[in-house]
Amino acid sequence: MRAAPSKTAPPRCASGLWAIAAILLIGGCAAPTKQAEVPIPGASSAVVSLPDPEILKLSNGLEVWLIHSDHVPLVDVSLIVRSGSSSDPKGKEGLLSLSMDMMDEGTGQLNSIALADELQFLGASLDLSTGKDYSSIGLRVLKRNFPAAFGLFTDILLRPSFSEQEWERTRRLSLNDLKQREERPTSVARIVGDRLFYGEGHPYSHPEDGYLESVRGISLAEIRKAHAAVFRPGNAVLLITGDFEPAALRRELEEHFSGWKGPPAALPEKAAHPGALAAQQLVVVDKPGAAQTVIRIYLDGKRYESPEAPYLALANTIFGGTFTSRLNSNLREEKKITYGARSGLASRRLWGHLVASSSVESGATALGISEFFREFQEMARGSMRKGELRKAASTQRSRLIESLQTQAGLLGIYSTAAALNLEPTERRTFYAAMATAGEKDLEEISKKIYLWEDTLVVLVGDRRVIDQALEELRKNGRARGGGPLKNFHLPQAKYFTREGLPEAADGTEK
Amino acid sequence: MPGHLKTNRLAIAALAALAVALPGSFAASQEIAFEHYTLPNGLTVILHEDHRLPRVAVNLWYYVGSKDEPKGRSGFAHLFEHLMFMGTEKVPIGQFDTIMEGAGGSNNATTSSDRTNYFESGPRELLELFLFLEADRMTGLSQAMTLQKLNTQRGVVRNERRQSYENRPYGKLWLEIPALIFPPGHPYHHPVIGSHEDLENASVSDVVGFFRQFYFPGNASLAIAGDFKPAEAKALVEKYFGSIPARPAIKRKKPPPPKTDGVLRKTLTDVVELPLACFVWHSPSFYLEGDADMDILANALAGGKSSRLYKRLVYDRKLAQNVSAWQSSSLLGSEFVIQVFALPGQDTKENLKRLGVIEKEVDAIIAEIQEGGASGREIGRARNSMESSFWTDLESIEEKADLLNRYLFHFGNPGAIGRDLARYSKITPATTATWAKRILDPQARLILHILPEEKEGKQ
Repeated sequence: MRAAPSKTAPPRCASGLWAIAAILLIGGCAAPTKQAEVPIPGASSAVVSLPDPEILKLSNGLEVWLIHSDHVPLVDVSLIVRSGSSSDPKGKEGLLSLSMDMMDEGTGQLNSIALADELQFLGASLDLSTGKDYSSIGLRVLKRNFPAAFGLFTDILLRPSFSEQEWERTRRLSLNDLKQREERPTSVARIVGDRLFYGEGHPYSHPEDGYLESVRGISLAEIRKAHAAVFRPGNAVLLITGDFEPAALRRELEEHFSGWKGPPAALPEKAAHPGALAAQQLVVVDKPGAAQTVIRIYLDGKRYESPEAPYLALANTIFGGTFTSRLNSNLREEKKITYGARSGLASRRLWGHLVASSSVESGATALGISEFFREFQEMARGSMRKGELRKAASTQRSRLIESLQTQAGLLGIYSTAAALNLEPTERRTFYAAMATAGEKDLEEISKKIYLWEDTLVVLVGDRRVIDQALEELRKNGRARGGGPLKNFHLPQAKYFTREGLPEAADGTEK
Repeated sequence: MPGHLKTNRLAIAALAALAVALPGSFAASQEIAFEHYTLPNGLTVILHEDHRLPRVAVNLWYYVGSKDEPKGRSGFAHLFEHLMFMGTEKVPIGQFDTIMEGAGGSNNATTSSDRTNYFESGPRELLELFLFLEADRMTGLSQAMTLQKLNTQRGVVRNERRQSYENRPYGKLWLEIPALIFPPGHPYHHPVIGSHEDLENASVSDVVGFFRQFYFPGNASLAIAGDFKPAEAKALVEKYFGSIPARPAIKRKKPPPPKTDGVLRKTLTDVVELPLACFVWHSPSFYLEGDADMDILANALAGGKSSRLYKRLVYDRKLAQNVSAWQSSSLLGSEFVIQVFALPGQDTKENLKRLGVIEKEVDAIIAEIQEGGASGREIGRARNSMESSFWTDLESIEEKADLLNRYLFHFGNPGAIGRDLARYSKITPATTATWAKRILDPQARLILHILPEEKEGKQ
């Protein structure tokens, strides 16, 4: 297929793509084929650029990225803290997340209830979240109430009460949340999978909210200490989007943050490779009587800053990133054994992984597993099908423009750059690479990534059903009704608990 | 529970859309300026320009939902929604999504008890493609239907049922409630997702019949929002939809309003950690008198930590893990739901005892709010949170297109935003007290418990 030449695009717009300029210029190329009567759109002439944030540096060292937006009378604020659950000490998994949870449990004269009441009365909502690499405290509020709400926001950031009484309750609720987490088979698959993929001790191996046992052992003193260690102006970036005059905003911010001081927190050392995934692993978590089996398969991915990350993003869009992706087309629309099958990327500071997953009806467990492997083998052959690159690039471009329409979407684009101490507009390079990628780039990355023999397979479902399915796959090298597999084999299954610990032979926890 | 989706990635957005409620203290009506007109074949068209980004959204409502399903065909309206993506003679199977995604567009659809909506969005250049594809399936879906297509989506939908209800903690609750609260023969007697048995029984002739009965221009409305020129959009609508033949309007009988006599109790078990108590009342239909009061009451009772139930049950008495309450509004009658996740006891006996204590506390709180109504501060608090989430919806052309169709459906006018907002500005403590008394009758409700299954060998 041929691309319509676009004004500034390099000639590698090989299969009908968008173009880039110094700023992210977005213009599409014509569609490859014309079906009778179907009005397939021509080239897009639209130019959309990622806005340049205005950078304010406050006197205490806090950096503020201001992104102008005036389409709704709302203000969105997000304080990005450059520490995440990866900074939890061993045995204290969940510590940072809990200290985040405690932040809105009272400040100054306001206890937890009074604070929630004030915020809601202002039409404000608070969002505390802890990721592996970084954490964020988000505020969304009606513009007319911004000054009052921002006052509360800074109280929460700088002067949380961390009272004994609120802590006792918060911890009890957290422990129950962790128990409830174990009821959801997809959560179980994630906890078990992350733990085994990264391996004990790796900063990414534990869930952000910790384990039952580790959370039981966390004290309020440790919460206070963890908060003090990471909440420093040099370890944070404040993102704001709304309709502001920068100088006036700076004055207001200086006032609120004048008392906030401290040295930057040291970021944890870069960890090495997550471990030995050179061989296939297969783990099973029993959920007796389950109507479906959750299949969750891990592969190595790419780090956030990897120059290959954009190509992997495109390849994975083709593999499992849209409705017509290979995985969904096969498992849902052809085999009709699931409501959906997908594949996503976690591209983080230290390491990245790829997860392909689906919930398939129990009776089709063998077919589900074998079709995942067939699709891995297909991808590893490295040949893209007609229209796939164009689809992936158009989809990525479209999703980017869609995220520009909301303030939350705008902040999302800059969050990781802020967290990883990168240039605010570093994503332009990423999207530019996607815009100019050719099939060869995708083929190369696919051959490196989709290696079926290096997968970690997590299955959550009825153990008897799963054992039977695995036996069928071992015996026949494929599943009944499934496509052919090349040299297929499966390792011995290991049985794990819902928190990712090996089950003893008698079925009890070790 | 919300409607059902072709795919589940938008499930959260759908939930949010159901929960939307509009406060009275701001001039949002300026924000969705529109024009609308009706084609000779009965299709209503609504246009809203928003040139912020080079994108366009198309949103098509068909006035058919699970309430319109024939006996023995529960789940059919939603299954049919899935079939709408399975191709026509002009656009063979698989091509609908392939063509759209190839050009950067994306789509989905949802089915509720009352209506089915189909929507797509993407680069503005795709407007013609979107209109062509929607008109094409409105014209020719049934001619190209086959048993194989039906079987495919039957399998997908049955897996949607497994994933969203059967293999999800507490999921069976939503399968049980409709039959408990609506009498046999009432259009809401069954859940939107339907039963496996009825889904298995659906035939190609059912598909053809349903298409003929409900899928025609006069039973639909089309909203377009985004970066387009109205004259061009109108010409495209005329080009693709203008020649679709009109059909006579559907005559519908309105069932008598549902009513609960006495207290109905039911206990289920599930593989869960926390016992659950769920209280359900019949309440005023979508946008009818009292509907907005119930929204405000839900917020006062369980919206956030400072709400009455949260404060009493979770914070003060330490009986519960979490509470929620919502007015689930529908055309032929709504449900007001209070849900409490209790802290777990040692065994079933203890769990039952705790649920009993919770029930007494819930009743005491309800009695208080019936007496004094929601306070001025509670009403203000609810309005401000609603205003915030309303503006959030208005950030998106997809949401605006859906909202215009919703107002047309319920008020007969896409511009009813002002009327909607006015409902909330009229609310006072006294009106909420009146509605709390009228609706939240402790002697006329459904009380459901879900208890954790006793574990073997648990020490």
